[in-house]
Amino acid sequence: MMKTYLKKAFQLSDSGAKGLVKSIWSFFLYYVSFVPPMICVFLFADRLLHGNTGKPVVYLLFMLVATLVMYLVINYNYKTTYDETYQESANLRIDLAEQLSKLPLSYFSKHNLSDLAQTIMADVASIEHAFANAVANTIGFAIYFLVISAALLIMNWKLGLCVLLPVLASASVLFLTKKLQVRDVNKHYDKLRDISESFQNAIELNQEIKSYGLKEKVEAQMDQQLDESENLQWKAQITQTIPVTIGQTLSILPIGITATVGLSMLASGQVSILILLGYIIMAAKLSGAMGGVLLYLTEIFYLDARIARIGEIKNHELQGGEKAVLSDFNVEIKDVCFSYQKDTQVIRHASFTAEQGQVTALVGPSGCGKTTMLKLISRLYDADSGTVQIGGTDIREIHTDSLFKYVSIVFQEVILFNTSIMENIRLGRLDASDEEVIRAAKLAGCNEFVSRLPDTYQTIIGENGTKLSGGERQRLSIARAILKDAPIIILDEIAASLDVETEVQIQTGLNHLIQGKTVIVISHRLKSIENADKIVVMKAGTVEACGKHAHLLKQSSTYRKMIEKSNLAEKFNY
Amino acid sequence: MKSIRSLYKKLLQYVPDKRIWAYSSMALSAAAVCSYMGAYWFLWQSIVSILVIPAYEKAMYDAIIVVALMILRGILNIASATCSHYLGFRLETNLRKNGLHKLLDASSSFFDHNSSGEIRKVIDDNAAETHKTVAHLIPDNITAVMTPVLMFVLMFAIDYRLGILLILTTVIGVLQYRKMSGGTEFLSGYSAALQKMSAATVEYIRGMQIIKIFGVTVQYYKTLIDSIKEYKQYVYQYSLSCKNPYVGFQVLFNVFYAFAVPAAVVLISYGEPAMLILAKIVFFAVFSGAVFTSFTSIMFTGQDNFGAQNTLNQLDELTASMDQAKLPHGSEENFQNFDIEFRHVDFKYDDTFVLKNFNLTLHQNKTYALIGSSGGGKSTIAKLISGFYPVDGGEILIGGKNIQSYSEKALIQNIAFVFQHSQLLKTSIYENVRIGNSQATRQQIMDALDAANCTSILDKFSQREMTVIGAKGVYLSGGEVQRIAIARAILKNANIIIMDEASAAADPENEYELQQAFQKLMRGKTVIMIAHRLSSIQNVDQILFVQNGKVVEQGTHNELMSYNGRYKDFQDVYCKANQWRLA
Repeated sequence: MMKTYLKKAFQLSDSGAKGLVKSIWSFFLYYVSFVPPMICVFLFADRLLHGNTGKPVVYLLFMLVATLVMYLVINYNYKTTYDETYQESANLRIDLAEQLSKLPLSYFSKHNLSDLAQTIMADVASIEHAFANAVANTIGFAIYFLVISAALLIMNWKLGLCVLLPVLASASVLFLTKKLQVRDVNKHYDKLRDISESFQNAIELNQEIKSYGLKEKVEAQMDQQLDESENLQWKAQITQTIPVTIGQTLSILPIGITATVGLSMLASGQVSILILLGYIIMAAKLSGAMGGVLLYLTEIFYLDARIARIGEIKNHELQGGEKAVLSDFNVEIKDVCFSYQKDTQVIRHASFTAEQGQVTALVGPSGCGKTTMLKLISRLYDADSGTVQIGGTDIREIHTDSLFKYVSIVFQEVILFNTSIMENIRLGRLDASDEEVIRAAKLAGCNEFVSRLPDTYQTIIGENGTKLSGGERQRLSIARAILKDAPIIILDEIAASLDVETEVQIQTGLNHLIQGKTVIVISHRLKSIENADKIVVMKAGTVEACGKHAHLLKQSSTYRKMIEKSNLAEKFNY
Repeated sequence: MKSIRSLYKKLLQYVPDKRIWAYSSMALSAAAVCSYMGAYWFLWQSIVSILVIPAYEKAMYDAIIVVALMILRGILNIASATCSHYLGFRLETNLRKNGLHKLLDASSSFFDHNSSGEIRKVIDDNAAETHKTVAHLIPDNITAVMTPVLMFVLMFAIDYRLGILLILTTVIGVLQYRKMSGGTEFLSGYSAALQKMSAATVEYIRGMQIIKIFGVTVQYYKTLIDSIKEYKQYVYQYSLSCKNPYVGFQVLFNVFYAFAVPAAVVLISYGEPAMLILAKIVFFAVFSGAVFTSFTSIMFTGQDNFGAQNTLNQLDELTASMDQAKLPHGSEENFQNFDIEFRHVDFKYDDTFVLKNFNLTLHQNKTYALIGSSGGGKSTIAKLISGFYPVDGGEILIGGKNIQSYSEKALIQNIAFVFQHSQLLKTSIYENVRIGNSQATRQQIMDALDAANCTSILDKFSQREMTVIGAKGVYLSGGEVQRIAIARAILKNANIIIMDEASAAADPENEYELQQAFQKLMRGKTVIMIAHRLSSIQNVDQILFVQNGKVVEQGTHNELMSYNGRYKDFQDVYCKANQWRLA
C-alpha cells in the first residue's frame, strides 16, 4: 500500500518505490537506535532512586553494545539510502531519456532545447537531493513517532500529550500553511519570470537601446518592476518564515511543558520522579529530531512543481502508428486542416499531390502556411482533419520510426554532434562504409573543405559543430541525406541563411540528392524552383493554385505578383 | 572567519544605508541564542530542585521560565529573520539594479562576447542566490559561533568534567566532518562525470530531431545512458567515501552523553553526592539533543558560506568585464562635417585580429557599399562606425575628431543603423517608430511609416499603427520588422546611415518594398551599406571589396568590372547562383 502511494506521489519506478520503502524502514531503525542510550540513563536513574548504583562495567558494556548496534544501523541506513537514491535517480534519468525518444518531434520544436535539457537536469538533481535526505527520513520519522506516541500515551497519557502535542502542532502549522506559502511564493516566482524576461529583452535589444538613447526609460521601467518584486517577496517571506519559525519554536517546547505539567503532577503524587525524568529526556530527544525533520518538510513541499514537470514529460501523449513497409512514394495531401491554437487555423482544407520522382515546390507569402505544411508531411504534427498519405497509407497509421526510414528532411538550421565529420555523416546510414561516406561527402561538395582540415574526415567538430561555417554545416547535412538515400526528400529553406558564395557551393550537391526522389521543397529563391514539375501556390492556409511555372503565370495572381516583385527586386538599383 | 568577514563587507557595499538591519539581525539572533541557553540553565535549575533539594514549587517556577524563554527565543528568531530578510531582499533588488545599470552601459562588444542566456543567468539568478544566503547567513553565522561557546560555558558551569567531555566530543566530531569533503582527486572525477552527463543530455535533446529522423536513437541513447551510469557510479562512490565520517559523527553525538553513566557510578562510589550526579546526567542527556541539532546546522552554515562566496565572485567577474567594456564619451556636441576616417585601427575578436592597422576614409554625403565573403571584416567596419565598440588600437574620426570625443547624445543623434536582426520593443508599432525621435509629431511618425513602405503592414491589422508587437495573432516577417526599423531610422533623420541590406532572403515578396524603404532612408546622407544583392549597387558612389580585414578593391561598379578582379569574380558567382535551377 505504501509502495503504491509513493509511486504515485513521487513519480517513481516500481523498483524505485520498493527502494524507497526499504530506505524508509532503515530510517525508522535509525531513530529506534537512538533509544538504547536513553534507556541507559533511565536505568541509572531507576537504580539510583532505589538506593543503589549498579556496576559501572554493566553500564559500560551496555553502552558499548548500544554504540555498536547504532553504528551498524546507521551504516546500513546510509548505504541503503544512497544506494537506492542514486539507483533511482539514474533510473529516472534513463526513463526520461527513453520517454524523450518517444515523444513527437513537435515537442522539441515547441521547447527551447537547451533550456529543456537544463530544466530536466536540475529537476532530477533536486529530486535526487530530496530523496537522499528528506523523503525517507521524514516518513521514517513519522512511523517512529507513531510508535513512540503510542508507548508514551499508554504509560501516562497526560505527560504523553505534553510531549506529543507541541510536536504535532509544529508539523500541523507547516501543513496548514503549505497552500498559503506555496501560493505567495508562486506569485513572486511569476514576477521573477517577468523580470528574467525583461533582462533577456534588455540584453537582446542592447543595440536599439543604445542607438535610440532608451537607457533611462528601460532603467526606470525595470527598476519599478524590481521594486514590485521586492514587495511581493516580502509577502511571500512573511507567509513562509513565520510558520517555519513558529513550527521550530513549538518543536522545542515539549521539554519545558513536560517539566511544568509533570512537576504539578509530581507534587500531587500522580507520577513518580522516575517517570517524569524519563518523559523529559524523551521530550528532548523527540524535539531535537523534529527540528531536523521540519527543514526536510519544506524541501518536500517545493518538490511538487518539479515532480509535476517530470510527470508532464512522462505522461505526454505519444503519436500512434504501426510498423509499415512502403513501396509507393506519392505524397498525397487530402483536405487537410490544422491549427496550433484552437481559434486560429493555419491550414484550411488544403489538397495537392507530390508525385514520385518529381520536384514539388511550395510557394506563397510569408505566414501562408508553407512551413506548417512541411511539418505535417514529415509528421512533426498530426493534421486536425483530412489526411496526409504516402502511397495510399495515412501517415498517422505509420509509426514515426518506420516513416523516417523513407523520409529525409534537411532543415535550414543544421544540428551536428560533437564527434568526427565521418561519424556526423554516417548518421545517415549507420552501416555505411567509410568509402560510402566519403562518396556522399564528395557529391555534397564537402571534400574541398574537409581536405583542408587537420584530420580531414576524422576531425572532431566541437559542440554542435561550432568550428564549421554555415555553408560547411549545410553541406554536411546534405551529405548525410545523400547517404541515407530515402525516397522522399523534404527541403525547408535550406539556403536562406547562407550568403551567395556558400549557396553556390551547396547547389550542385542538392541536385545530386534529389535525383529520382519525391521532393518537396520551400525556397526563398523563386527562380530556383521555376523548373519544378509542380508548383503549389499557398495563400492564407489554402492552396490557391497548382501547376507549372508557365501555367501559374497565367492562372495565379498571387504567383504572378510574387514573380513580378522578385523581378523588380532583382532589377532594383540604389 | 576572515573570509566570512570579507564576504559580508562585499555584500554590504550594495546596501550601504541598510547596514543597521544587518546589525539588528545579528543582535537579535545573539539574544535568541542567549535566551535558548538561558532556558537550558533554568531547566538545569529545575532538575536540581526536583532531585537534589527537593523543592517542587521552585522547580515548577523554573520550568515555566524554561517555556517562556523558549517562546522568547522563537520571537527573537522571527524578528532577526525579518531584519535579515529585509536586508536580503533589498540586496537582491540592488544587485539586479546594479547589474542592469552596468549592462546598459557596456559596449556592444561585450554583448558579442557573452551569450544573452549566460549574462542573464549570472545577473538575474545569482542575485536570487545571494539574497538567500545573506538572509539566512547573517543570523545563522552568529548562531553558529555563539551557540557552541555558550554551550561550553553552560556545561563548565555545571560540571567541568562534563564540559571537557562535550569539548572532546565536539573536537572529534569536527575532525570527522572534515574528512567528509572527500579527496580532491575524487571531486574532479565527480565533476568531470557530471559535466559529461550534462553535455550528453544537452546533445541528446538538441539532436533529437536528427536522431529520430535518421533512426539512430539506440546509438545516442547508449552514450547518454553510459554517462548517466558513470555519473551514478561516481556519486555513489563519493557518498560511500563520506560514509564512515558521517556515521561516526552521528553515532558520536547520539551516544556520548550515556557514556557519562558508568563514570558517574565510579564517582558516586568515591563519595560524590548521588542525586547531584544524577541531576547532571539527566540534564546532560536532555542537553545532548540540542547539541546534536546545533552542530548539524553549523555544518550547513559552512556550506552556505562557501556557496555565497562563489556566486558573488561570478557576479564580480561579470561586472568587471562590463566595466572594462564601458565606452568613454567626451563632451563634443557638434560635428564639423561627416567625413569618416579609420586611422591605423586594430580590432580583435577574442584573440584574433579582424582588422589590423586598417586605414580608410569615407566622405560625407556619399554612398559606400561594402562587399566580400562573410568573415572578411565588412560587418566589423560597419559596426565600428556606430561608435558602440571600443577599438584595440588606432582611432576612428568623424569630422576630424576622435569618435570618443563626442557626447553619447551627439553620437546617438547623428548616427543611425539598421542591422540584419532588427528588434522591436513589445509595444505598439507607433511607439516603436516614435523612439526614433520622441519630439516628433503624429504626422511625422505617420510620414516615416509611409516612407518606409509600412502602409501595407498596417493594413493587415485592425488596430493599424496601434497594433502591439508580440500580441496574440500579430505575426510579422523578418522583412516587415526591418521595414518598421527603417521607419524609425527615417524619423531619427541622422546624418550617417549604416545599414545591412540582407535578410530579404527570408521573405522575397518583401524585398522590393524593403529596397525602396532603404532608398528613402539613404537620401542625402553619408551611407555605409553592407550589400548582399549585388545587382542593386551598380549606381553607388563607391564599392569597397573587403577581404581578410583589408579593402582590396575600391571604385565604381564599372571601374571594378573592367578591373577584372575579386569584384568581377563575385558578380560571376552571384549570377551563377541566380541562374541555378533545382531539378
